[in-house]
Amino acid sequence: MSANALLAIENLSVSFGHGEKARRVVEGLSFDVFPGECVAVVGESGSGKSVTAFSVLGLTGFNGGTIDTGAIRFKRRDGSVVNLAKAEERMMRTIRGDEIAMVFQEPMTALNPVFTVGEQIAEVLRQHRDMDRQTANAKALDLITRVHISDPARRFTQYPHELSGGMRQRVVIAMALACSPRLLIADEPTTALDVTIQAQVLDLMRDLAREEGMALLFITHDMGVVAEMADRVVVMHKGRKVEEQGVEKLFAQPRENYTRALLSAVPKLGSMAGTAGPLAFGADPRTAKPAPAAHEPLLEVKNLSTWFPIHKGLLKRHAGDVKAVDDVSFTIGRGETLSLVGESGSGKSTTGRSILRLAKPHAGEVLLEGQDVLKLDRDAMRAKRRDMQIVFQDPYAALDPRIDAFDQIVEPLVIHGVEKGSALRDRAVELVRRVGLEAEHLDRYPHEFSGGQRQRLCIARALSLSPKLIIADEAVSALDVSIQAQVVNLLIELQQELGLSYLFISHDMGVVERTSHRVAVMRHGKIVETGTRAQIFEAPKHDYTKALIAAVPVADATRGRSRSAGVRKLLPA
Amino acid sequence: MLDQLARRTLGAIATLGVVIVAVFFATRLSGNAADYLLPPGVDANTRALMITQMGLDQPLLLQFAHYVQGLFSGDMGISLFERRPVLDIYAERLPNTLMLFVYALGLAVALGLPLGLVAALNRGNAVGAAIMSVAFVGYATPNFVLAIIMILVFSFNLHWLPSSGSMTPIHFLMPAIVLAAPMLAEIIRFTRNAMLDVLGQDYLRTARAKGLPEHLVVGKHALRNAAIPVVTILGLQVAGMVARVVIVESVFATKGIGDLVVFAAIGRDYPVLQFGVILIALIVVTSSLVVDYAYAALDPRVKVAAS
Repeated sequence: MSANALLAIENLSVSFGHGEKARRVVEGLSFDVFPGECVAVVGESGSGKSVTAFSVLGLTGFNGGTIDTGAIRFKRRDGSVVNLAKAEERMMRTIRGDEIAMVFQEPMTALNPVFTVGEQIAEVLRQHRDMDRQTANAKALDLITRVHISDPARRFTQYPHELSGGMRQRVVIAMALACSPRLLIADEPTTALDVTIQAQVLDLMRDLAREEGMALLFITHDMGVVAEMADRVVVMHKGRKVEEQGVEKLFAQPRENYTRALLSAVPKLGSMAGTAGPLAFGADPRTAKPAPAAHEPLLEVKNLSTWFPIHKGLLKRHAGDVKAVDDVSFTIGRGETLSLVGESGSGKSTTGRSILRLAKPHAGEVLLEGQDVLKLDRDAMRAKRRDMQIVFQDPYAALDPRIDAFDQIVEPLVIHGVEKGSALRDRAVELVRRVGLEAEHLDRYPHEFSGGQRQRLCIARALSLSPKLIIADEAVSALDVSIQAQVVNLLIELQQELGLSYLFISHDMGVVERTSHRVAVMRHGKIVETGTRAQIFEAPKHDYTKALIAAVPVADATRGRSRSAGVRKLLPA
Repeated sequence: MLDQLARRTLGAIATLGVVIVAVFFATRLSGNAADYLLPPGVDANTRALMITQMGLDQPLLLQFAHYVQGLFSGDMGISLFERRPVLDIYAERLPNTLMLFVYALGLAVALGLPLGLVAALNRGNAVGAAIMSVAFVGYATPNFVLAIIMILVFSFNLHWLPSSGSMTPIHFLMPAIVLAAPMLAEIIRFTRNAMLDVLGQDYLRTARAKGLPEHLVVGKHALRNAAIPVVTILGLQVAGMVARVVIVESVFATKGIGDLVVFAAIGRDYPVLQFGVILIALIVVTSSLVVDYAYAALDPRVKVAAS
């Protein structure tokens, strides 16, 4: 361990399970963290980055993990150095929350639902600082103010469910800051947040770390966030360290192939300037022929509104409506991709569902090839569904776990009576090959597939009826970047071959820039701006569109840091 | 939240109303009560006189009006057997049954919560398995079998406990245990499952990351959340207890309302029966209402769902 290091991880190996089932998830990992610096650990799911974080806090044991070899040396406030990998639970308890604190990925579940926000912060102070209830509460109120939560006195007495995701994450940060720790571990702290909220939370963490002189160990999969936060980067893959570099060097001259592949799969905002249509990852914009967008409209949505009534009082009187979709109009041409972007709650998913009549619109028209699908009776609507299919966000939830891949894919064909008998098998084989899987995959069940493969299955299922329109509702959002790039490429390829139209619903501006011919920006149920991709990304008109684009962390270490002030100006809290 | 609880309270009152109406007509549907009171072969005049005396010759709706009026003025009629006000009989009997309920419920909760907790924390080892086996036996043994075994062991062989009657608190011990057994098993099972569910939650990881000792992680952060589903089953348990108390009181000759209602049903003493059924409905409805209020008090999320 270097004499100045605050934390030194030395040859750490962690495994889960026992005996024959034992699985190494971290293998021979070493790196240091120095006081006041931010070290980012990046990797895709299964790289062992979160397990590393939990090992530092001595929490792996609670999840069934074991530290097999190695040391985690930590310099305490009093100057003594302890090996956290071997420390007793009693000593770990005096370090956790006091000298090392943690911020978690899911602000929705990281807080206990039955205790007030104030209590959950004050509890840390009572535990480590021997404060009485009153003093601890006063300090907790201070902390809530410090993380810029408005109306702190009221928030103090509220429960987690009464706070938005961004506010909850601020509460978790306040909790972590309570004892002024020397090291703050942040495990994907902004992954679950909207991009504009993410920008604010990252700013907050950076400012607080600077004020407190805290070191940050930042676990993330997002190269944009890395560029923005880190001084040094550790790239992990399958439990091992692939590369360790200063942040600017890593982005400018990655040493390892894996790092290069990871960086090339990251959608870079602005990298598409000058190209007309969607472009596959890795394709050369000069030679690739983007699918031309036809002018003949396939889908016309006119003044669509979907409201959800709110009922109040003893008699459940109708007290108002949530205007999830409010007077929305757009068109999609044949072979064209229209992206619908916006943050959570903007109504983009409800718009997609309303077009398919999975949600019930209360006004407007949805014309598919000139015919209003909202006016069709049950049988006609069922027949019409052949032309419109949907791919959902979570490929784990979208496939029935007890049905094998073959039946998943052919079910639409059977329901609509398109194919029978051996023809079904032939069609299924054709479909799985088209989405990049093999015929033998057909006999497997969903749990035998990876996330990316499952999403390919979902796409195959959507394709089975040869639809004209596919609604992709955050279809690549749950996937790792390299897998995400593959699935995006598949969608683009299918569009070119089959002339499909997409309504591509997404919160991710980087992916949207890749996939779209045109873009519509939604906020609070309304479309605030529609335009060609170039218009939206190169010359946005609406302030919200500008803020949305400015808030995206840029995967460029030389640009990332200067960005945040602009977001703050555009989006006053 | 107030809206929701007010709605539940109104619902409870409506339920009681339905029970009151149903009980009246159900007892009238099962034949003329006079026939059960008179010896066989009695002449028609005596029978007619009896019917008039009992008011059974009046139109049904008029009888119903008298019955409802009686309910509100505290006049529940006269027992056809004992020839004294129904209310007096229940005033003697109800305290015994309520005492039995309180003992049984207290026993089941006081033992069930900690045992369920220990079973959850010891999942997969001998302690956990032992607790769950005992719970399973408690659940699967019919209560009259358990009652008879207990009487054999503790009264006839060991002479530790009285086998029947309801004179002193000691008399309630065995019936309370028999009444509590299946409830205890259910509470252990539910507490264990709720705890296991909660133990995997992210907020417990947060609690540990704060440096809280394990007794606070489990005893404060986990238990408070696990208590929510357990409380909801207590309401159902009270309803189950009402059904079982009939048998338990018969076996142990406890002078309670279970025992009373059984004899009233056999003997067509319908003033007693009517009021017994209404009283039982009142107990069940009240207990589920109490559970609703407790649920709202325990879970802050309930409040917002309604408002």
